[in-house]
Amino acid sequence: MVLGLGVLIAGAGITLAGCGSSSSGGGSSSGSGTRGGTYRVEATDFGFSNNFDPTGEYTTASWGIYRGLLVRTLVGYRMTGGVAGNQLMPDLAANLPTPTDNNQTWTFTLKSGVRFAPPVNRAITSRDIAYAFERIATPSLAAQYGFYYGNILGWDAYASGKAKTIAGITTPNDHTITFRLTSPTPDFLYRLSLPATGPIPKEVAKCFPNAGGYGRDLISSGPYMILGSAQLKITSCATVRPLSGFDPSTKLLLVRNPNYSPSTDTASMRTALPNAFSFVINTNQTDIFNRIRAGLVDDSMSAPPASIVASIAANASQKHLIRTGAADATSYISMNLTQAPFDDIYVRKAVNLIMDKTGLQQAAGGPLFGAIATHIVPNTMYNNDSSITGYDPYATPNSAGNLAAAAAQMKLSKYDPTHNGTCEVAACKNVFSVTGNTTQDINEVPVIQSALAKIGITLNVRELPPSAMIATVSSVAKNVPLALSQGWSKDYADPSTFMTLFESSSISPTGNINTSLVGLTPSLASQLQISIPKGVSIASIDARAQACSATAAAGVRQACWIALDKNLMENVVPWVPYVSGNNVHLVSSAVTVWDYDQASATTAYSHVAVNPSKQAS
Amino acid sequence: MSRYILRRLLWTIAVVLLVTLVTFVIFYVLPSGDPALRFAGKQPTPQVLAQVRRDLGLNHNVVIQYLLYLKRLVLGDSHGWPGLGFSYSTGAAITPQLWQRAQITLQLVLGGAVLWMLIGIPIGVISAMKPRSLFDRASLVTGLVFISTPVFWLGLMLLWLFWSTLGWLPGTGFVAFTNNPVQWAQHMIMPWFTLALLFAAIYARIIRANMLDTLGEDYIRTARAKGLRERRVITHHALRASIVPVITLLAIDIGTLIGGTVIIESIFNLQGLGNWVLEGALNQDLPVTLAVTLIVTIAVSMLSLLADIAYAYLDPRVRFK
Amino acid sequence: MVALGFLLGLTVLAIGAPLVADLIGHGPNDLYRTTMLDQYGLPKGPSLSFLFGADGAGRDLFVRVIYGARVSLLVGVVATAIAVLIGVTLGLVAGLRGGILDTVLSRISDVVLAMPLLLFAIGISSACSTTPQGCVKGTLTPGLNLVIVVIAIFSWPAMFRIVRATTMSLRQSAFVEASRAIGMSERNIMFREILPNLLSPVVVYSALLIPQSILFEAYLTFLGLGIPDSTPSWGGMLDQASQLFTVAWWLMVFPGVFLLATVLAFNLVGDGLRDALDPRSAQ
Repeated sequence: MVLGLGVLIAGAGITLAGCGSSSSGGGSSSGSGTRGGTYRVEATDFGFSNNFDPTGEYTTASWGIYRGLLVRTLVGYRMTGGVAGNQLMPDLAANLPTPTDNNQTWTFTLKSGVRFAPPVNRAITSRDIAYAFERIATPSLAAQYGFYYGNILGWDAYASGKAKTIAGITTPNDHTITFRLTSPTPDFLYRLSLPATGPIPKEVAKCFPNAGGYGRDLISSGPYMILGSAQLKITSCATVRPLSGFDPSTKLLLVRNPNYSPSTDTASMRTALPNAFSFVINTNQTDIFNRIRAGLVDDSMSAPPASIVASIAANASQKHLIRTGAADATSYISMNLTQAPFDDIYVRKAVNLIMDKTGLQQAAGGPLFGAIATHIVPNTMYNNDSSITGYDPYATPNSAGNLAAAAAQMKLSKYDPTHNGTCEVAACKNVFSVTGNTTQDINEVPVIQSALAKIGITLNVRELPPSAMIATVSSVAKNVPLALSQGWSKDYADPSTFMTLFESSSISPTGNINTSLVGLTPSLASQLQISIPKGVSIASIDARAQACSATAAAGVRQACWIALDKNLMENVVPWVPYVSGNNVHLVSSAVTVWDYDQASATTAYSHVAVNPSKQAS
Repeated sequence: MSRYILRRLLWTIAVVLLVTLVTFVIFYVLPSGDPALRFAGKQPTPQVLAQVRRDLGLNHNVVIQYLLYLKRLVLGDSHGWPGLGFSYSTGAAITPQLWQRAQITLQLVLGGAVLWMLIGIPIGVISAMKPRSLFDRASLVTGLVFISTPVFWLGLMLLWLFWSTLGWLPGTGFVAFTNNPVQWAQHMIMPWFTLALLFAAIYARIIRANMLDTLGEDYIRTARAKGLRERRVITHHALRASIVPVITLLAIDIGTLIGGTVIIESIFNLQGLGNWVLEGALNQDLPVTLAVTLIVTIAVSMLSLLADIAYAYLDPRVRFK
Repeated sequence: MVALGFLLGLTVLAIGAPLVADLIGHGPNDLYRTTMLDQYGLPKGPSLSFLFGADGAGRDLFVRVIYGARVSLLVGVVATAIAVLIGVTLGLVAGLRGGILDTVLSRISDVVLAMPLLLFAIGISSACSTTPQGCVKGTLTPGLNLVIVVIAIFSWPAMFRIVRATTMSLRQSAFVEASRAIGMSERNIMFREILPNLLSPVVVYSALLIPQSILFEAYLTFLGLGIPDSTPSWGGMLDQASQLFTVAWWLMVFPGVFLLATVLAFNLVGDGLRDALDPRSAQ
């Protein structure tokens, strides 16, 4: 959820993005932490997409808080950096089940002894999980990633009000829950790791029939809870007031949940060392990092600007305060397959070959902020498989572009009638392009412009505020030929969460995420009132993506996605991927243990520790 | 007089309606994007988009939306009165935040106004007393330099010099007076000066010109002829007459600045109305944009009305006509 | 005189910007990222070959500052010209005709003056930016011409008021009454009697409107809503400076000094014109 669409979701203030190094920083701090103290985080903006109601909240920053501190799900993660952080582990479930019926039936047994935080206090049962799914299926709650659960049997009947329960979710007793699906879904466990599926007590949540409301009174199932939970009166909905520790425009304060029992959890998932967490809004980005350096704050939800990172990295005694982790995100330029000159695959290949990726990386803050990307899905999501890590179909010296190779491709295209390696026809001049108006986006524009100019393509770039940029790029009728500085990040570690961007089913008139329009058919085009140029046939990866999605055996599945990634890069060429972003954090010297949560691409809040005596106040 | 005030009040209401209408047209009818997209997740399905539009009240046609907005404005909504709705970004009611942010803007503007009057009046008076003197010429040129200085550049230069290079003052941000008066003043001093230098220059020019006009009038000559000391002539007669028009100008400037400190607030990161409306406009947080526009328009209209009334009461020449 | 000389020099420099760029060998959009940016993408400061240092993208700031004069001068003059044209035309009509037309026009100018300019500029600029055609059927595309139109829309009312008030008082003045009495047509009155007398306030106010328009453009571009980055403009350079001034003072100082000097020069010229044309003010 990093750049591009992510900026929108994360709000104007948070530049979660960054893009970074693969080598430096990262990993956990040496030394073991001690219990106690408050871990103090500041952010320019929470950027919640659904007011912190887990049913609809679709920002990785919130997921990191839920997973580490407030919301336990059937399946979770170790919450560490790298490939290990993307491995699934049982959390509320006693163990990971083996599916039956061709990956269509999944039965879980819940751990016993897990209780809700005050004021609910009771044991968590399978009904509370089923209720969470009923909320996801309720249209008025606007569950933003409800599409991951649409193939549960009886889902639509419940959503339309025709059924009282979801037929495919059964809870024969308090500690058993069974999901029956209508199609094979080998990555269903991953979907159960998303926070919307965590248990929700009906006695509280029933008071919030509209999207976002429950976020103000979220009842924890994790090691911490929102301050004021103990004082909440839940005798009737009239007495349920917003919790005192949470105000979406200023703060989110968490304290220990007295009902949390570490014996129901594992230390590899949550060590829960600090006594409290504070997430406070400070709209002044520079001030946040000054306060971190002064020891007044310990961490930030937004990345430090390159100017601050540079001054700290130059100082050997402070260098360790910069921490990074791969964001499992790709920054890319999206080319529209229906718009000249990008309706010609040779032009798209030439664009890949001419692009100065090192320049773009530098514009983003240098290697610390992200590694050069050479294909669609970040390597971590392929478990750093050797068949893909060195793969670069458009390798150029120094990744700075290769004019000869690009010109050779351009000569093959219909837009170079004179075969001189540059495009001189009108279609290549003043090509309408859209980008954001954040500092980083604007920094990237001249790099792209000067690279493309070498093969005769000149751009008419619109630098738009983030929300207008998203709206323009995602509106099919606007026919944007080139979308610069786009970004995508995973929802979970399966490559399908990237490949969905190229499926024809993702094309929609507004809110379109398949901006390249891969798989667009003539009938779909006429439905959307756009046209496919004469003589252009648009490739489809629908069948291959479905085949990979249905493959269960882990190794075969991964090989299938890798082959599809390579096919996209070589035979479809919808993008110029250029940076695999890192999340960069600056922490205070009071932080004794810090780890990166790969699954949520943020600080592993469940594994941090502070030394209160080093904290300034 | 009361008929005049009534007519002006009616006109104010008309202006407010027109300005909200234009705001509505620009931000709702000619939208640069769909605000619902921001709250429909990164893979928005048509169903979720439709639901979010309903939640934000964007499902009606724009005319109905505008009428509903006016209705809520007059009758109040679930967040109380006036019904300004809730911010799309935070889901929180607009009204309490509006007052909170207005306080910060007022602290900036009023502090700045005091400062520019303190700088502008003496310079204007001294220049007028000795026109074409070295002081007069120097102050005219200096004034013109400040009138020509882009405020954002002045702000950045001050930050660079006093914060980044010398480290004498804290950087950007705001500390409430009730939390720590010293830090409050330290944080406000650069924004105040950034605002005040431009206006001090303008006001010094105006006061100088007014003083020169007044000093040429008959009653001043009479006062001098009576043998009053020059000092007394200046303070009791000339200054009073020259300052009256300035006070009315001050009221209008303060009104305009309530919505016009966007750039200073964004440079110094003061979370006042200006910063808020900028965020609202850029992020398509339509209720915020509308609420601030509304408040600012009302403030400008009311303060200019007050200025006119004050002028009528304070200036003897106007009163006797 | 100094001011006029400066403006003349700046105009020559602006027109000759490509020659300067050729002479130095750095185009306004040429990137020197390997030599002028460090590993974090931060720019390096002034040197002999880069007199003003590099900007955040590794371009020659000196060349860009020179090119930036083009935008400022063009916007200042063209936006002012449009605003003056609208203001004078409407002011004359309102002042001469009076009645309901006058009331309507005056009220429109009141409303425009009551509007929060910057805010509407934001709304209009971003609404016109989302398609290649821009808005109003392709007549308004973002960038230079949109900025000019936005500035003109918000600048005409002040000119309108001056012209209207002057026209009204002239219409009732003795010499116009006299012309009317000897049977001069309204058309002749307008061209022979009223227009010449309007000349001096219009010239003086236009001269003062130019620096205001230049500043307005800088504000808009500073907020990221004006001129796109590929066209060098002082406001855009200062926008970049606002992010980088702690590490790159040159980004803030050089464009800022040029902007200040240009606006100051126009203000000085405006003041001089006023003193020359309106002796009353030159006390």
